[in-house]
Amino acid sequence: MTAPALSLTGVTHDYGKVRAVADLTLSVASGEVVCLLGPSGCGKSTVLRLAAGLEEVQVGQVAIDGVVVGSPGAHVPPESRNVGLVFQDFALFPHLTICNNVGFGIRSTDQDARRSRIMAALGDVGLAHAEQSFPHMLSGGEQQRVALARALAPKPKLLLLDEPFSGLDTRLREQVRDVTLEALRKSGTATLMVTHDAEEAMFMADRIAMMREGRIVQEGTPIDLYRHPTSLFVAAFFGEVNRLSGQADGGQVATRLGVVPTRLPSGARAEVAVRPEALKVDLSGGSGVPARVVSAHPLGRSTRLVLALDDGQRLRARIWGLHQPALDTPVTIALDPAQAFVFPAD
Amino acid sequence: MTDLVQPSPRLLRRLRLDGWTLATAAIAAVIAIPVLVVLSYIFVPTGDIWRHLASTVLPRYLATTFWMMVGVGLGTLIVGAGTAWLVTLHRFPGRDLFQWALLLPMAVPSYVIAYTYGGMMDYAGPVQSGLRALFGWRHGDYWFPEIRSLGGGIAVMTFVLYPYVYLLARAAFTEQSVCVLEASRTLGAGPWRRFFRVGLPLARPALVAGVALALMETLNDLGAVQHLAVDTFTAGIFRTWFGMGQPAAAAQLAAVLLIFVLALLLAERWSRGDARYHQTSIRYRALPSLKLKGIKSALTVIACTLPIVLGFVVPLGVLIWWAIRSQALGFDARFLKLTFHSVTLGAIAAVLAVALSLVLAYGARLRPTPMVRTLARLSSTGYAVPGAVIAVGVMLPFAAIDRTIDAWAKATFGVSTGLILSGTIVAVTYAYLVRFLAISFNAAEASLAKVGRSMDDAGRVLGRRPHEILASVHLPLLRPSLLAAALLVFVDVIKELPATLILRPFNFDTLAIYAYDLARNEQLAETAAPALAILAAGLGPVILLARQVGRSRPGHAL
Repeated sequence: MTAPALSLTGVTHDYGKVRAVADLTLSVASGEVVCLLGPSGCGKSTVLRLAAGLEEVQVGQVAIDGVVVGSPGAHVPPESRNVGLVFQDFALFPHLTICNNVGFGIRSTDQDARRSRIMAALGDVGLAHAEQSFPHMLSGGEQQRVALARALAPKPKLLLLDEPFSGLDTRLREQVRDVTLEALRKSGTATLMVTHDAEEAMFMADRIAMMREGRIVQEGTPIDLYRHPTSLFVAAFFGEVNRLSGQADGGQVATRLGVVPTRLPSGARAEVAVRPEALKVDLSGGSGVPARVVSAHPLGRSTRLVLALDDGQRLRARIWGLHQPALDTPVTIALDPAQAFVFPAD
Repeated sequence: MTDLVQPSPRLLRRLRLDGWTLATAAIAAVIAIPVLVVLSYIFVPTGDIWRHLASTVLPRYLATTFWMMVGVGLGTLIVGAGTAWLVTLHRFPGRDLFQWALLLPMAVPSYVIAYTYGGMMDYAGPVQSGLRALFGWRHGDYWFPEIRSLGGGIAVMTFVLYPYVYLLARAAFTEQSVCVLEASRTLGAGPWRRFFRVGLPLARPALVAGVALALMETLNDLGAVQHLAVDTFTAGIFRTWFGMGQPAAAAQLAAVLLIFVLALLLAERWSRGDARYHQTSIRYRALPSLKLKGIKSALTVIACTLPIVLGFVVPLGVLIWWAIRSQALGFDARFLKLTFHSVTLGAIAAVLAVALSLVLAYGARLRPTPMVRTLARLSSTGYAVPGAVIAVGVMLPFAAIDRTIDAWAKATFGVSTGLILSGTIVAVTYAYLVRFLAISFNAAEASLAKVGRSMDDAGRVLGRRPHEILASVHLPLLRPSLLAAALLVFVDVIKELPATLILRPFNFDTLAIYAYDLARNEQLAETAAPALAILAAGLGPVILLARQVGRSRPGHAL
């Protein structure tokens, strides 16, 4: 078995009195794309900086390709690590042409080899025509692609992406994401990407590590995390949830919307998270729990509904197609128990 | 056993004593020496001399310096803040011209304006002679203000120093929230009320900073006060050392002067107070400028023209007139040699100052520890210290080192080494660095701060070491601001008088020294050539500033 491209073992990092990373262990296999997902300030960028060598390890160990590059008192500086890093603000050198930006990290003295590597890297992101431009002449999406080409051009053992798409507007983001993923697959470089956007993480990652307050709270494939969140925090991070409460009794929790299976011991107070799409809403009022329409927003492919139960609790639901039910229309709701997540209430 | 002798890399790491930190510390220490030397003289007992000074001249120096500061402070405040208010918030004919032309007097060194006014206004000068001829007066028939007096000194210093206040006040008024001024207008405040109740209080930190700069220049001045017979501290230090041959007493006077400077620095810092936490909005809007008409417009034009005429046009005119009248014009071989000396000193100091500043600023960026930051700050406080004080602080240790080396060489080899440091351009260059390092440091620090930190990170991840990043990323990006900083230092060195006078090598005269010597011999007309050359050099920074002023015109984002 080969050593992982990157492994962090028991890493803890403080900024003054603030603990940014707490006893974190994580690895990225070669060729794998791992996303660190979490809200801002959860310490995910610190993990990236530790991997790059821009921060010195205080506790724990960082290894690249099985070689320890960071441990307390032993620090391999970033310039000797052979990692690529794409910055949130792209950090292109404004005084250099695109060609020289991409070539900045290539330490080859052979001008022809150097040039062919630059052009290959630019070609992979579809920007071979822009080699003589300066960064300010390019659009945001193009700048991002140059930043990616620059990071990949020296053929790093590990690529780090720090919120690489957050500087782009929504429309552009999807396009650049496609190009990026394709370039990553082509180069086969092990990649650790940091993002606060769950959808982005699901799109890009082979594996997602969900972080909260300096710790990894769940790790797995995108589908794992979406389908089987182990905490309300993870469930809520991957999309809107409705929260219902109840009590576990004989492997079941009875909620306002019906019975949901659980492994919680009998008598435990439970919190049930339900995604909007897990609610089956019948506008014509068939069998189910009665509710009334509070608001309806047709959004195109689907319609977003806010419903109120008899006791006033509000639920968010999403139904396919365009609908515009009148306010106070009586409807019925049925719950898909397979898409309801039960967590112990705190 | 070597383990015992060598500090472990771990310890060094813990202390964060790497090359950059050490370099920063070394520069800061070297730059701080002269001030510390002078301060130490507070504690050196000199007995009789000091008692003699204290009972004779000290009270006079104190009083004169105090009134000089009050006068110049008020004068620059009124002229600087007033003109800034007029040009930023009003529209009148020639406003765009006045915006930058009001900076022109900055090009005129205080000693040059003192020579021109002294020559024009004294009893034998053309003004009084003309009046006598016109009205048939004779000596004693009429009253005429004495230019060689405290009042005359305050007047000429105000004429050339008000641009410091103008520049900062203008920036402050420009940045002021448009809404606040418009709100005060809708609340029924007239123009005077708006100025005194809203504009002035909001600009207070900038005004204090501007006045503080003007007063530091006042304390620094030697040529003007000597020519106009105003007994300030700086004049006193010079007289005590060279007139009375008492270096220790001069150092003690310098220490007292340092306390004035310290008070100024503290006052400036205190007035800034919370103000530094305020962020001005990034969005610019055209300031609500009030269109002036008729008599008001005419009075405003006169109010803005007067400072330019008094501080620039008159001295320039007088110099040109003198140059033409003294037929040889004075631009001879000697003049060329002096120019060469001035340019050499200016260029050496400018290159060194920029290089050291870059090390300091980059060191502070790489290791932003409190220690490094304090050291960097410390090495840039020299701008507040008068040149004469720095000169005293350089001269005393250098002379001591020279004497030690000389004695050792005599004892060991039987030869005298003479003056190695104190009589060479090493000493005078050192003094320039102490005094002007702040100019280039502030420029380097400010423009480095504009380069995002991810640029450094990107460079390192791409395989470059910190010094390579400085060379390949920062230097190209900083080049324009560093060139501008070098120009400012260069021109300040050319204008500098007191430190040059005390520390220059024997027979190594500069343009400033030449003008000073001629003025001392009352050959005022002959000062025209060196003074015009210095004034022309002084226009360089004014043009730089004028361009910035033009770019930051309200309503136009940078």
